[in-house]
Amino acid sequence: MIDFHSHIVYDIDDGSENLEMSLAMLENSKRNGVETICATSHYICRHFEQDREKYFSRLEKLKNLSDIEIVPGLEVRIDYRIIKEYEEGRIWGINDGPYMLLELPFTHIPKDAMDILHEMRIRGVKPILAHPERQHAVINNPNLVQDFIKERVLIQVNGDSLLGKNGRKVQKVAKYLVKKNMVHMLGSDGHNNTFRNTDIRAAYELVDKINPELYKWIEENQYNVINGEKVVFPHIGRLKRQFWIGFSR
Amino acid sequence: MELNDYIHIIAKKWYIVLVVTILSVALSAVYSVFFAVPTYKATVPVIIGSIQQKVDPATGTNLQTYSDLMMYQKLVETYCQFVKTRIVVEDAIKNSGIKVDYDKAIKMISAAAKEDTEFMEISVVSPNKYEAALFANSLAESLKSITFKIKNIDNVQLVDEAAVPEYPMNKSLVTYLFVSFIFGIGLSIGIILLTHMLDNTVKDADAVQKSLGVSAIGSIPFEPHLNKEKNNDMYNIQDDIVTYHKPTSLTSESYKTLRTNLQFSLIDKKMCAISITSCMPGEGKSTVISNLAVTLAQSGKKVILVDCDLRKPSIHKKFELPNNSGLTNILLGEKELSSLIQKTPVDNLYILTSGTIPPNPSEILSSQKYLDLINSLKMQYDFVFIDAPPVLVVTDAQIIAGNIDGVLLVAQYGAAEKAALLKAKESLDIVDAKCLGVVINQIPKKEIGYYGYGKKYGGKYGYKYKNSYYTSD
Repeated sequence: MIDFHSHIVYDIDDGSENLEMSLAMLENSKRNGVETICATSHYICRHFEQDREKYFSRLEKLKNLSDIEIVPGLEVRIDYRIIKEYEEGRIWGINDGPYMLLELPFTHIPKDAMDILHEMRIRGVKPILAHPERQHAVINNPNLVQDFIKERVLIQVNGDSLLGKNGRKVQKVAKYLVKKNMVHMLGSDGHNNTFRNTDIRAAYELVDKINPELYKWIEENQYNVINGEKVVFPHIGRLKRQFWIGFSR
Repeated sequence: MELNDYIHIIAKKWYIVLVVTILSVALSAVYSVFFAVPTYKATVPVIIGSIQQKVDPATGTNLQTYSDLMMYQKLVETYCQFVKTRIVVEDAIKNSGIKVDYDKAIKMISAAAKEDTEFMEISVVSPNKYEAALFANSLAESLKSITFKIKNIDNVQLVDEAAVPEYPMNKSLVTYLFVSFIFGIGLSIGIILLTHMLDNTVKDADAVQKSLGVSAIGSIPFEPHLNKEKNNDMYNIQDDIVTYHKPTSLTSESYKTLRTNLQFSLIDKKMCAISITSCMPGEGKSTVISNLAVTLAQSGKKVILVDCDLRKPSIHKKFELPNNSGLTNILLGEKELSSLIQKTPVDNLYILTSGTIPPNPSEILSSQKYLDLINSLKMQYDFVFIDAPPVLVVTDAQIIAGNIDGVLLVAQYGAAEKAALLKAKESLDIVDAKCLGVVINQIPKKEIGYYGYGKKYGGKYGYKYKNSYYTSD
């Protein structure tokens, strides 16, 4: 079991506040049966830029104290500047490999999002879209996720969204994505040890219950992502038509 | 259109014929078995005329004249109405003892004169055959008695009693089935031909030739199975460049035909710039021009593909190339032309992507700098292909087409409307663009045989010899 999305590195973003909290979060992950956890701290151009040395020194400290494997990574906000940042080596992917966790702004899909994803892909990045189910445009029309998959973007869904902690609408969208094979990995998006914690087991169990084939696919392919190897996308299921686009907000 | 075409159209939609015919036969069978109540018809003849002979008391000869005869014949019509009056019908109901009211009874009764005679026939239709006969007889008697009562003439003479009908008047099951079968076939053929007539989309090379005056120089089939083997390699040309991935497929063969036709129509030109456009977005402009460019490059020509669709550029996506700078950046003077021309895995094929999307594409494309750029590309390459936006949506395609050697019009099979295509052609004529021809795109594979070379002759030629003959280029 891999947790692809967590803010486990302390004192670096709005995630874990100190070493004790990080260790408690790791303990929680261990109880959940997580074998590998991706430490994907926020990276937002001009607002929240991570220093490579600071990040990796804290990661090393955590690695030494923890039983489960911790893999470096970032959750990068999509912005036209990240192309340059990547070329200059200021952002890094999961396990310093080609797979990179990217997030959209919550309110809208930027006009140039697809172009940015394309440019990143051309430069060797294999993008993973973080929690699209929490994105407003996707909540209104979940089939938008298909456009990202056609651009060969992997999709990561939050465990707590699947369990309904982010609201019923979000849960509905997340379940729909799981049903239609439009999810490729799960993450806890754990920020602390209280409400947004690092629980993930129940979400994986739910995926197994809703779509056992997808669960099998995730089990087969999850380490390919960690190791930076190629994955073959599962076929997207037959999508529901969205008649109510334009009427609902 | 010839008879053959009609037969083809109907044969193509054979399932509609099947479904409609089966439905109609089944419906009529269900109706005749479960719903049609057998009804019987009893008829009684009546003569209208006085029984008393008018005899001349002096001579003893019959005095009935021709005018009497004519009068009775006219009277028959009157009695036909008279028999349906309330007084007669209710009297008949009372005499016969049948349990119906007047409104129902009137529907059972019909009376008609036999042409040019004094006979009238009173018929009664009823589900009960005895009731029918009884009621018919009572009606005749009531007519006689009531006439006598009212007119005081015995003008109605009963000839015969109505016999109890042996067989119901309904048609047999076989008749029902036969009629509905013929009806079903006729209806379905009507539906098919009507929908065909109402369909004003491009489906036929001849129709394009006739309405536009431009020949269809390419027919590209639609083979979705070629894209089924999903290529998940992240740094490769995308699947819809079939000529690169599957150079021996039917689609690639049709691109080679298009290439040949194009070369013939440009036979006098040494170097040329060709643009492509369509009426509406999404008809396959970029796919067609990319494949055409690949095919020409494969034949040894030096080809450059320029993405001038500054509204929704897509060439860089098809060839998996970066597009952070391109055409517009050259025109702005930010970059040098030579540094932005990108190589592709196909030999001899080079690509200039669109670059940053500007706010004013039309102005940029009509600038002198752009014209100079295209001319300098023409000097360096055998073919310059220019991808343009749809012509009926924005003006860019017209601007592009006005300054180059020719334009190809892409029409998606079954989606592009003939009227729209004509309008597109007219708008290209306004700017004196040379329309090289129409490329019909995404033709269903079963149609390509009919409109192309014919299944009879072509068959699986391309597949059969793919390993020996067609791999030459």
